[in-house]
Order: sequence, then structure tokens, then C-alpha cells
Amino acid sequence: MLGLIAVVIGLVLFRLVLGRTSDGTLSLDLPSGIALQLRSGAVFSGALAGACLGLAGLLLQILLRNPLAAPSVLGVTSGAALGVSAATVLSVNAGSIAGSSFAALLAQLGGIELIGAMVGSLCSLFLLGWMARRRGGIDPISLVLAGVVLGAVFGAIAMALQWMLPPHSRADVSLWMMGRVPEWPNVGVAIVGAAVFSLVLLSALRQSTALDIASASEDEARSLGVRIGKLRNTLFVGAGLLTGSAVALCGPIAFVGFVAPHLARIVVGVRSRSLIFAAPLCGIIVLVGADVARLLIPTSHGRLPVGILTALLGGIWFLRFIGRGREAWS
Amino acid sequence: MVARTPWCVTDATVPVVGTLLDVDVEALVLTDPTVVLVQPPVQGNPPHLADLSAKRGWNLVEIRINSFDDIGRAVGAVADALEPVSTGPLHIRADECMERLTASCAPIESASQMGGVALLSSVRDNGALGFGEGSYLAQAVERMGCHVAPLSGPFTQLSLEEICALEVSTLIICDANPDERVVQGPLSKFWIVLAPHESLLMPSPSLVDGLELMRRSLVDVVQLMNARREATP
Amino acid sequence: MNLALRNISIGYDGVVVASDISLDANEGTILSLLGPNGSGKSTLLRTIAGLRTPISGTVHLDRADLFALDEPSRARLIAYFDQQPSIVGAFEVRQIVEMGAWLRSGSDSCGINAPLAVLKELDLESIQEKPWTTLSQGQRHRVALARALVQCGRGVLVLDEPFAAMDTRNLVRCARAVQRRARDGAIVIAAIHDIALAASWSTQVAWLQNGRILASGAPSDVLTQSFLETASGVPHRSNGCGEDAGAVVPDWDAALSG
Repeated sequence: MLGLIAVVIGLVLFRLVLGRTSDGTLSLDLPSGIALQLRSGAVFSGALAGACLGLAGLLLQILLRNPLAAPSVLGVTSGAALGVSAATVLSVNAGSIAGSSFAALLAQLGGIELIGAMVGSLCSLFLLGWMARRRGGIDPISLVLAGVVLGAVFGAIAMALQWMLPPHSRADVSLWMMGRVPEWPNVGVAIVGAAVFSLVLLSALRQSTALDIASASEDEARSLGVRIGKLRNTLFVGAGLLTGSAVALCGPIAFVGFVAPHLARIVVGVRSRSLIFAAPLCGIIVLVGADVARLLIPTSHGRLPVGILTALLGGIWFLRFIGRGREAWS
Repeated sequence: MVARTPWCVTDATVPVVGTLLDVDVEALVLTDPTVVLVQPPVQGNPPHLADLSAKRGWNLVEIRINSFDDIGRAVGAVADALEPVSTGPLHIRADECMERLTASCAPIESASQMGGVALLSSVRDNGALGFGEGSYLAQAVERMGCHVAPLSGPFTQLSLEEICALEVSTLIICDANPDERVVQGPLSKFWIVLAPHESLLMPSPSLVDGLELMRRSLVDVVQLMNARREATP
Repeated sequence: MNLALRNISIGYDGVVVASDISLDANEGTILSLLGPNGSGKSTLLRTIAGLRTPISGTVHLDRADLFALDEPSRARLIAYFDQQPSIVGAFEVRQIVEMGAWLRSGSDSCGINAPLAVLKELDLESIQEKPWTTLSQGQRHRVALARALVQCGRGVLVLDEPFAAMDTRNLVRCARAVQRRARDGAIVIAAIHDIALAASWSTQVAWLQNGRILASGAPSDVLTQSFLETASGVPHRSNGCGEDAGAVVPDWDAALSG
């Protein structure tokens, strides 16, 4: 755990002193003024979104008893992205009709992204939970398949919404879909994200032993005294809100929520009490690390969108994990 | 005009026959065109379009509009292509068009003293898309006598930090809804020109209007800068 | 302490599997539930453990209605052993066994039911740091049983085929451990398929077949040769040892040669 914290601090410091100009030249310096503010902003966004996704992935993996679970694998991220697309289309249309001061204020606070992402992720989790429980349980691979299909359906609807936008906004939305690390994060989104993270972290920590026991089958967990329904409902909603916050801040970034809990288990073992801290730390390492990596990768079009890097890393890990077979985890 | 793409808003009653990447051949055949104007995508024209044009005797005209000069050439090319089917004084109108285009980018007096200029769109909290050398917008602004900041390519995604580090005095922002917080926050140290994005981001008949508006704003900025320079000894 | 089932009907998706089940068990009772596969033993055990609501009927522990209790209160009274214990993740043996004690406050003295004592009793001490993912089926069952003993060594133990996957040595160790809890006042209800084992181990047996309890009572009263042959349709014989000619077991030679 101390090692993780050290790595996080190291990465954060490295991100703060690593500069890159528009022609791709790298430099190491301690910035001041606006550059320091912007780099701190990027570190804050990456860290908050990474921590949220890491914790959300951990909770989903435990509650669904499925090590393959993660917000992006289960289509929750796509749901949140769809929510944001829908909210954007609505606001574009509403803006031209009303132009009301309330809508403007909402936009200023990042309300469009936030509300869209929260509603989208909660709805998709609700759908998933309903599917998982309808027949009294669903096996891990089927759940992942269901998530993939949900993701594809949400993606299709999001594409239809994009199609309805004017061409210039369309390019904007497709870039947003690739994931981003805001350097000047919206204060409203940041505050809500930080509050959601703290609340869910505390709530999970209070129930950490119950979370351990929830790794056993539902009958066993209930007979051991875990109020499994209540645990699932509260922390499922928690995972949804965490995903919503992360998507509102950084767009639909894939696989951070999958990789972070696995990385955390390698470091601190399986006890929830440690994982609840370690998974967010690993999420920070993955996302801030990806942000650093895209500074170092030379391209002629500017920095790579951060979602590309996390999806590459996470996708390879995911395939490797499936390749090892189910004996490895149950 | 008998057919159009969904982006062409000149006459909404004309049937849409898809985009170049997804041509609705059947609908296109039904409209029975004489001339087909295409802007080839990076991958080139779909081969069947050339075959079809040869078979049905359509005049397939490729128009490239990547650079500012391309746009000038395109006006002439369209006029040439439409000459046989047009009833009006096409070439005269094309010449007028070119004159206006040239006038809209006429050099601005003492523009060289305003320092560098950067052209941005999609200004968000994680950066913006920058138009560099090789894009028609940057070339248009260069024609006005401004120095456009060098970027690594014609279209480069820039982080806010990279934008702040650019050696320019003025940002020209072509964006439907730039992030106000960012413009008033980290970008507030620059002179900001909000340019009309609808006419500038896609070459269209209204491009000239957009360029004229942008030029007027730049003239204002130059005058303001000069006034300020004179005020401070 | 008295566990009373009154007119229980069980089933799922609206299909009744067994009905009109009434059973009583007092402190010190080891009640073995016998019967063919699919007769509803597991469902009945889950109902007794409070995990499934019966279609009709009641289960009372002393005066408390089992289905009116929330999970933690029920867990303090009743432990449940699933015939397929499962846990996702590489939890260590000791961590899993300690889960049985999570509701207990530190001041509770638990004596022989303390996690360490039970680990020792079931010979799990040497593998207490082994992760679950590397355990054999028999070891996993022993771990799950240990957890149940830690949880409710003095309450009700509901065990679904606890010994099925165990070798003889560990079976005896575990069966004795459960007996010890019964002597200390626990109520044990277990599904067992080994009739001879049930006959020696239990104080009571109940035979569940064709949707009802065919017979219940002391093992020597219920598990007679004629009853077993009628119930199972397989020839049986006395195994010829013990005080009263011992238990009746299937006559494999006769059954398989026919």
C-alpha cells in the first residue's frame, strides 16, 4: 500500500514537471503561473476519474462476484456516454429555443454532462441488475456478454444522436468519446465527483467485511448475516454514481475500472478493507500514467486521446485474464 | 441542382442521395444528373462512381478544397463544369465570387505588428483543435498579413498548456459553443476573436461572409492594440 | 431451544416440491434428512436456514418466527452449510473461517468455537494460509464447515451434504466435531446420503420422498430393512455389526447382479 502511494506521488510529480510544447518537444521544469495551474488541473482530473473508476470497478467485481466486471465491460460507461450525448442534443435544441438563464447556469456548472452521465450510468446499471437477478443469477461470461450487447446498443443510440447534431458538433462529440483529461476541470463536476467518491469510499469501508463475505454465494452470504439486498442496492448505486462522475469529467474511458482492482489485488491481496484504498490508487496510477504516456508518445496531431491508451492496456489485460481460465479466480 | 448531400442546405427540397462514403446509387440514378460534383475523401472516390459516370455519361468533377488556393480553383472548376448546362452568366458570377474572396482576405494594415495569431476550434477544458499551416483557414489569415503560429500539422489537437505557451497575441476561435470558463480562464491573457464557425469551418458560399466578419474583427483588434500601445509610453 | 416446522410446503416458480412437512428438533438433536435426489432436501434445508420463504407453513426457533428476522439476527442463531460452498477470490482459509465470527463482538467468549480452535479441530491449521482457489473439493467443504461451526457452534447448524466430498479420516473428524456441538446444546439438521453414516451419527432421521415425509423418528425405528427396500426399491441387508445388528445398508451384490 505504501508502495502504491509512493508510485502515485512519483507519477503526480512527474506529470507536474513534464512539459510538452505544441511541436512535441519535451522538457523537464518546475512550471509556475498558469502552466502549473493547468498541469495541476490535469492531475486532479485524471486522479479523480481514475479513483472513481477504480472503486466502481472493485465494487462491481465484488457485488456481481465477477472478476471480469467493470463499468466499461458492462456497458455502464457507454450508458453514461449515451446520457451525455442525449443531454447535449437536448441542450443544443433547448438552447436555441429557450436560451434561458437556467440552462446557461446549468451548462456553466457542467450540469449537462453531470446529469446526463449520472442518469445514463444508473439506468444501465439498473437494467443490468435487473437482467442479472431476473433468473436468480447470471454466470460471469453471460453477464459480460450482456454488458457487451448493452454497450453496443447504447453506442448505436449515441451514434444516432450524433448523426442528428450539426457536422461541427459531431466531430466534437466523437473526440469526446475517445476520453480526455481536462486541464481546467469544471468546478461543479469536480466537487460532485469528489463528494461522490468520498461518500462511496466511506460507505464501502463501513461495509468492508460484509463485502468480503459477499464474495461467497448469495445463500452463504445471507446465512452469514449479510443484508445482501441492501448492500447490493447501495453500492450498486454508488458504483453508478462513481462511473457517472468519471464520465462527466473525462469522457467514456474504458478498462481503467477493470485493470485497477486486479492490479490492487496483486499488491494488497483480496481483503476489501485494503482493496477499497488500493483500487482507487491503482486507478490513479493507470489514468495519470496514461496521461503521462501520451505526453511522451510523439504524434503529428497532438496528444493521443487518453482513452485509446487505457483501452489498449486494459484490453490486453482482459484477454490475458480470460485466457488464464476460470480456475484462476473461483 | 437535382440531388445533394445531407449537409448541403442550399435547397432543402432537393432529394438527398447520401454522402460520398455512402452513395445511394439508386437514388442518384433516378435523379439523372448531367454533372456530378464530388469532394474526394482521403481514401479516394468510390471506384463504382467513376464506372457509373462513364457508363451513364455523367461528367464527374472532383473538387479539392484543402488549401485556400484549392477553394479559388474550385470556384473556376465548378463554373467550367456547369457551363454547358447553365443558362446564366456563370463565369461572370465566378469572377465576382473570386473578387470577393480575394477582397475578404486583403492585407490588414500593420497586421504584422500584432504578433502571432492562432486559429482554434472546439475549445474545451482539455484543449482545442488548432489550424496550422496547410489548412485553408490559416492560409486565409496569413493572406490578411497575420503571422499564424506554427503547429506540427494542419489540424493539431492542442492542450490548454500548449495553447498558453504559443507565442501569439490573439486567438481566433471558430466554435459553436466554446467553453466560456476556459476562454475567460486560462485563455484570458490573449486577445480573443470569436469568428463565425458556421461559415468558416466548411467551405461554402457563405465562406466569404465569414472571412469578411473575421477580417473586420482582426482590424478592430489591430486598432485596439495600436491605441493601447500609443497610450502606454 | 426448540426448532419447530409446522405444515411447511416448499417449491419454486409456483411448483410444489414437498408439502405438509412438520418436524421438531430440540437441543442436542442431530436430525438427518434422507431421501432420493430431487426430493427437496436442499430446498427444505434452505427454508429452515431462513433463505427461502416457504409457500406455506411456519418455522419457529423457540418463539421467534424465522422469516420475521433480518439476516444478522438470523445469522446469530442459524448457520448454513451449502453443498457447493463457493467464494470468488483467493481468500485464505483462515480469512474464510473468520467470516463466521464477523457479527460477534470482541467480548464474546467463544471457547471451542473460536476460529483458531476450530481450525485446529478440523485439521486446517497447516493450510490456514492457503488460498481458496488452490483447495481441493474436500478441503473446501472442511473450510465451509469450520466457518459454520465458528458462526453457530451453539445454535442451529443446517448442513447440506457436509461430508459428501470428504475422505474417511476427515469425515470422522468433522462428524465428531458436529456431534460435540450437539452435545453442547446445538441443534443439527443435515442432509445425508450415506444411510449407514446417518444411522450411527444421528439421534433422529426423517425420510423425504414423493413430496412428503415418509417416516421420521429414531434411526433404528425408521431405517429398517423393509422400509428402506420399499422406499428405494433396492435390496438391503444388515451390515452385521454394532449393538443391535447395526445399520441396514444396500446389498450391492444382490442389487447389481440382478
